[in-house]
Amino acid sequence: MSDPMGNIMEVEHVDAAYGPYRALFDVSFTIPAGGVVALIGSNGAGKSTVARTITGLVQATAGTIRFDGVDVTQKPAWQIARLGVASVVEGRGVFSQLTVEENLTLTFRQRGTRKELSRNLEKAYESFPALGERRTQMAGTLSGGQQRLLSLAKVLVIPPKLLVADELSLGLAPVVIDMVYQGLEKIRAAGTALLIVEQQVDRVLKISDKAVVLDRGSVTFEGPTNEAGNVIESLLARRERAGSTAAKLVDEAVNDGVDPEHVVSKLVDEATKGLDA
Amino acid sequence: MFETFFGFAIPGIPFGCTYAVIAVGLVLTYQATGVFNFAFPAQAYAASLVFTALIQSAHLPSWLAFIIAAVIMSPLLGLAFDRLLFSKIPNTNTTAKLVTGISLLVGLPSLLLVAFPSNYYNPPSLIWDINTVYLTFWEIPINGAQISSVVVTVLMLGALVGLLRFTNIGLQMRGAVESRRLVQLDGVNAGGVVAVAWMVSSFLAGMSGILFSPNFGEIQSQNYALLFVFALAAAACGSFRSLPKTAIAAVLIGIGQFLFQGYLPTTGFLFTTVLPSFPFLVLAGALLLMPGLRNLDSSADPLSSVDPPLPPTAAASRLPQMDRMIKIAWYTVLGVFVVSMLTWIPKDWESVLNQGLAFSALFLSITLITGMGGQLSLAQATLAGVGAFTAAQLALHLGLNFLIGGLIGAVVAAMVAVVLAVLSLRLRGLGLALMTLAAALLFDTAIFSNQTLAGGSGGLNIQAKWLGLDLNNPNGHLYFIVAFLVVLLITGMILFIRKGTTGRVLGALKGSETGAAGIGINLTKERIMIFALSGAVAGIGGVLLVIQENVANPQSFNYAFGLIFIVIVVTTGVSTVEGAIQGGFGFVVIQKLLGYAPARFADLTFVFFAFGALTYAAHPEGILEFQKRRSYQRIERFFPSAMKKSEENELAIGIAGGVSDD
Ligand SMILES: Nc1ncnc2c1ncn2[C@@H]1O[C@H](COP(=O)(O)OP(=O)(O)O)[C@@H](O)[C@H]1O
Ligand SMILES: [Mg+2]
Repeated sequence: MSDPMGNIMEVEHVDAAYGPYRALFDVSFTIPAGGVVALIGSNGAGKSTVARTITGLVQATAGTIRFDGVDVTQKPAWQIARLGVASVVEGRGVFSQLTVEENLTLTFRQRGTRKELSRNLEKAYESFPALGERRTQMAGTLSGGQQRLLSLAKVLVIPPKLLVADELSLGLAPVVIDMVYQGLEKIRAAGTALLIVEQQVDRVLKISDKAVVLDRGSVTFEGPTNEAGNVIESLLARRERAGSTAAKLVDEAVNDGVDPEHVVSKLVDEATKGLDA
Repeated sequence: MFETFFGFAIPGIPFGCTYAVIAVGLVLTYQATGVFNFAFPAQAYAASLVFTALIQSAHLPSWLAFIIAAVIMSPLLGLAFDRLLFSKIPNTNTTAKLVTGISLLVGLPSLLLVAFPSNYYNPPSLIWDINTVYLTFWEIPINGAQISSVVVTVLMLGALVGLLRFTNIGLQMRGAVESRRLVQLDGVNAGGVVAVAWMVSSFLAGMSGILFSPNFGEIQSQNYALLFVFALAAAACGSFRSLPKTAIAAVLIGIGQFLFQGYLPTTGFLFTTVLPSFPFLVLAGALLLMPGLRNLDSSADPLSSVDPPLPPTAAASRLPQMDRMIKIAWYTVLGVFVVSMLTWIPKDWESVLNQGLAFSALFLSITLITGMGGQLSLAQATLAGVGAFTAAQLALHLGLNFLIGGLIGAVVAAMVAVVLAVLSLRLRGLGLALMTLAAALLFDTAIFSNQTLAGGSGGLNIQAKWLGLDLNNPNGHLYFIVAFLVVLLITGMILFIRKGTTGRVLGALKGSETGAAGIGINLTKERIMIFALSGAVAGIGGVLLVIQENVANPQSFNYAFGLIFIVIVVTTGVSTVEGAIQGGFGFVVIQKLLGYAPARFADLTFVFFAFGALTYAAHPEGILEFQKRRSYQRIERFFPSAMKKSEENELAIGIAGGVSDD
């Protein structure tokens, strides 16, 4: 029962802040039902804040967020989750003091029925044999990649209406990234809409239909992925330019024996200039 | 031989079970809510008091009294604690959680004393009667209270382990401890789950209070505090994590206590000194040796990065003009105070205000260790006692002048503090607080209660000849002048340190020692130094206090005061020097004023401060400090020219935006 436009989520003029620090400025975009949206932007652009705001972890200070026709702007995270939004958070998204199986059980009991629990657990272990071998291990002792797989397994087995995934591939080996994206394809085929937050753009643009580009807390582009090319190009170019500037400055400093603090301030100048351009 | 052994050991089992119920309840709360509930004994006390009052004063049948006190009131109390207080504290803020629990521990019994002024004796047994012998083992009679301890412990442990391990809500509770946000993303109403945990554990607190009150002749909150300490030791042995290990440790502690009691010769040092300290030694030992207790607070919420940074402190956001005005106001108050003390203030009030000076000095030690060092020490009253008794002993045996003795006392107190700091170098937050509590209790039982060292229950009377000067002459002002100068000196020292490197390092890194360690800064030296200074200042405060009171009384320095002092200073502001001084004067002045009210209100002092301290989570700068800031802001509104620059709200995003990727 998505709305007439066929959007599962609509974000309109949303501001968000951490205490006195504002992080989002008038952010608007939509996620089509069953569609895949890539949310991209450089480090600190506010991507995670967007993910947190639409899942209810951070409260929007202005604007509205509608999910599946329901206004969820003021709802707490658990109510939004119950409406059908699943989320894989940035970094560690598992309970380190619970075992692998307990982590899965916690989610499956909440999203599925008690009867289906053992079948769902089996499904998870089938898709991720690495987890099957470590059922009774504390999740905190898993490797970073395995933890990521576990948080993915939690949301893949019972497809939600919308999955928000923040920096899924960060720090993972290429083989594991392949697994992750296969999982995403699968869940998409089951009808789940996806909002994929990534800095690593090449990969996510292949699977997404739509891209939203965020810069310093504001949306600078929203449209079909194939039209996003230019914006992303310039984003990448800027990143590259700033990166090489930094490298050059550091080299200079090392050669000249300059006070490092001086270099940092120069670096900041350069970087800000790059942004204003 | 066997029979003697069992004769000693078996009566220990029910006592051990008593400890086990409380210990298990404590661990449950900690595991399910992330709060180490210092208010637990207060809750047990509340339930047994209400239960007994309902039976003895309102003449209700005991089953009805049980339902009202344990089944209805106790969980509601827990629910109120959670909804009104603990749910508002971020799970990572250990100090706020501890302070809130401690203020409930201090404030609730005092409040109840106002509500139930009469004494209640011989609390009734709930199930099996304490005066009936139901069973005998090896000719050892087992009474009803002993049976109920054992039966209830076994049932409760079974139910709890079942709840946490095998039910869905148990799983959710364990998840919520680690991260309330993360369980919410699974659609779990984390607030509701935590509230249920509070209600269950508060029911346990109430029930344990009611069940075990027949063991005491009279219902008094101190009894429950003592049980609590035994329970703490057991819980520490279970690393505050494992319910079965905790229960077993509790029973073993009970048995051990009775075995020692049975076998040790009743006159030796071991019997008189080590045995009463047994639980504290176990607690301290567990804190030092159990590896799980070193990083009690480090099971961090993976989503803590969602929390905004702490707001700037009140003083930092003051206008310079405002600062100047406040300074002038302070000097004026100071001048008026000194002149008044020397001229017109009546004797009884002069002595009250003198006592306020002594407490100010003592409380400044809390400013040092908690405000600047970021560590919660519950042993400040003890350190004050160390200073005071050292001085008194030196005067008594060597005839040393009390003022010089006082300085030596301060050094000894500093040394004790250093030993404590070195022993607990690896402990943080909760672990350190418990370690200092254990030390305070150890001193209470092993040293302050010792006849030769501390003069027994009456304490040591200060003799005029010890005070070379005419210090305790009630008609002179010398005490005032000396105490005033001492407080001034300590204040100056603290301000000086705060401006110096050590102060700035501590200030910048307060509360994030892990972070500091991560970037290679080792705070060991600073930490030991701040402990030492704080110990010395506390010692001086103790000396001033006993000169003023004319007696070095162990009761003035027992562990309960260590807790009360924290609560007071936290209320008036732990991060500023004014906070400690306002606390010192507030404490004595309120007490004096309440002296004019009917006797039942005497304890309201603690209630005032406890309620003040309950606001710590919302206003870590201290509620008084917060109110001051509000009034400054109101004043500032009258000076439009001095209006603050509009706050720098917008975030400098993306400085690293183009640089640090990949
Ligand atoms: N807990 C917080 N408190 C204050 N500011 C924060 C907090 N979390 C993030 N920010 C700021 O908000 C901005 C957006 O951050 P984030 O959404 O994490 O960016 P991204 O995910 O795109 O890297 C950044 O400038 C960051 O410094
Ligand atoms: Mg991010």
